[in-house]
Order: sequence, then C-alpha cells, then structure tokens
Amino acid sequence: MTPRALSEFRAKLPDCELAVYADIGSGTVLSADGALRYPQEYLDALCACAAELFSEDASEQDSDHVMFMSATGSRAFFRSANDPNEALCCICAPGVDLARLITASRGVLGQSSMA
Amino acid sequence: MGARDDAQKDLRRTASDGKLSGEWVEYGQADEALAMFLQQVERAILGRKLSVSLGDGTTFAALAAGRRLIRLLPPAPGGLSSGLAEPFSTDELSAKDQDSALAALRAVFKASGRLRILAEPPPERLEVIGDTGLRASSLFEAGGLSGHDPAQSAGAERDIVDAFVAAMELDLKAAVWIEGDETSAVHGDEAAIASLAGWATRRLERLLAPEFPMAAGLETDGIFVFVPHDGAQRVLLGHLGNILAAEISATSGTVALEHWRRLKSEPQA
Repeated sequence: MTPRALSEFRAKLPDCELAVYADIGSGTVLSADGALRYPQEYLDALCACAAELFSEDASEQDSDHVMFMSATGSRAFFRSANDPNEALCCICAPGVDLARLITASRGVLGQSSMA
Repeated sequence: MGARDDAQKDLRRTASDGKLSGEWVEYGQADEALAMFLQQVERAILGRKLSVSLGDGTTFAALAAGRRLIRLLPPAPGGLSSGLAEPFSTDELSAKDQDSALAALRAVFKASGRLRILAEPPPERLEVIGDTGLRASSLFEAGGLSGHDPAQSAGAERDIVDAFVAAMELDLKAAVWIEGDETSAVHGDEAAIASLAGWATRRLERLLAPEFPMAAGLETDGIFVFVPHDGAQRVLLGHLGNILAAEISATSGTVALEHWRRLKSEPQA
C-alpha cells in the first residue's frame, strides 16, 4: 500500500488518528499516516499487537479482523486477504463509526492488492 | 496551543492508555484511606502495581493480584520505625504478616489528608499460588474496616456484563465468566462452553501477559471482537479485572461493540 493510499484512507475517516500498514510476519512497519508524528517505538508496538492478535493456534479459525474498544479509544486490525502477513492497524476515537471503518479498511486493502 | 503541545498531550494520553489514572481524593480518617487502598487490592484480579501518593508527599507502592496484597514494595515510606517498615522488605506477604502489614499501612495513612492511587500493570507477571499474599477481605475483617461488601461489589461488577449478555441474547451462542482461575458457564450447551473456555484460556494467557501492550486495557474495561473470515465471532470483554468470553453469531461483532459502547456510557446503578 502506498503512503498516498494510506493517507487517502485516513482522510475518509475523521475519527481515525493513526493508520499503520505493517508486515506482521517480520514485524516491520511499511507505512504510517497520522494526525501527529508518532515515535517509531509506538508504531512497532502497534505492529506487535497485530502480530499477536492474528497469531491463531491450529484450533482457531484465522481472523479477518480484530476490533478493540476501551473508554479511551478504539483500535482495529485488518488482515490483508491477499497476503496474510500484512495488516492494516488503526487507532480511532471511542465513538468511531464502526461500519464505515470496516468498509473503508476493506476497500483500501482491496486496492492495495491490485497495486 | 501549538503543535508541539498537541503532540505532547497526545503522547501522554497514549502512554497512559490502559492505566487507571487515580484522582486525588480527600479522606477524613486513616481507616477511610486504608479501606480505599484495600478496595483497589480487592479489584486486582490480574496483577497490578498500585502506586499510592499522599498529600503530605508520602509515597509507596504495592503489588496486588487475585484480590490479594502480594507485596509492599521497598523503599518503605519515610518516618516508619524499623519494626513497622519490615513488611516493605518482605518478598511475599503471607498470613503471618497480616498484623504487621496492617500496622504498617495504618502508620502510613495519616489521620486525614489527600490520597491518590494509580493502578498499572505490574513490572512482571504475578502468579497467585496457594496462600500467597493477604486477601483483601481478610485485611478488611482483621482491621475492622467498613467499606467492604463483597456481595454488593460482585453484583455491581456483573451488572454491566449481565446487561451485555441480555442485549446480545439473540446473537449469543455461548458465554463464560472468568474470575481469576475460576470459569463459570453463563450461556450455551456444554460442548460450546468447553470449546469457548479453552479458546479464551489460551488467548488470555497471551493477551493479558504484561508484555502485550493492550493487556491493561482489556483487563480494566476493554472489549475485543475477533472476526473470522466466516463463522461465529468471539468476544473478550474485560470488566474490573474479570473477563466475559462469548461466542456470537457471524454478523454480530459490530452489534456487540455498539451494545458495549452504549452500556458503558450509561450510568451504572
């Protein structure tokens, strides 16, 4: 996914503060776009979260996405259907429009697979 | 406010995500402050580090887990005699330390003043085995303290969870309530409950590990929804140190998150 595609994705979601595209297999942040400039350690931690959340054991079905919500915010992790080692991670406000977030994420991941 | 201030504010907020940021509260008597501290111990199912600050500048920290006070961390607050400070150098408190720990805590909390307690993940994983630590309930009882009502406390903890289960009823396939090492069935047939409990145990082993950045958020009041490519979705809902694990129908993840968001925004009875 290009930085521009990530930026355009986030621009559609006013409640999304940070979007990170990562290779969760190698633990590498491939691209990031945020309202603020976040330190690399923070981006790496988000990538590690995605890797842990998508590390199903043999008895589990692979997750397409994982959502987390707390009083202080929402986090969403979407695995690329085309490359299960890649994932989009988003940090959003607690009141984020969930349906819109899921639709936009699936849309941009679909585009990236065609890029 | 400039961009730099905005960035610092955001980083501070991000850094504190998952912590219970304590507020300063006034107390009139030493026992009132001690009860407030023990209430935090009572809430600690998973390991927590409790950092206590008093208005006069006194500070100390403790480790709690499994509703027990595991350790009073050194250094002991200044002004304590060597005898009273002894529990702060005990590696792991046990029943024989109950009286000395109570005496030390009573000596720390002054007759009146201000108190702040910050709860955060412990520096290392705390295992509660056998008679490790001092039960909060025993300390309440031994200290003759008011403010401990286990029945009311347990009821309040379950209110929001029960409301969530009721709201999800039509979409709920199975649910279990996990309180420390104990798992109890909430809904579903035996096979579905066993499968769900096994999954939740394996997942929580990793998601509640101190090194997982989102562990504290899940433990205190967060909700995870795992959405597979097809088939049933699974939920882990943390509330005051306990976890509800649920299996819901294939299209109900967003519904579950919306219910949780609504319930959290409503004042609890």
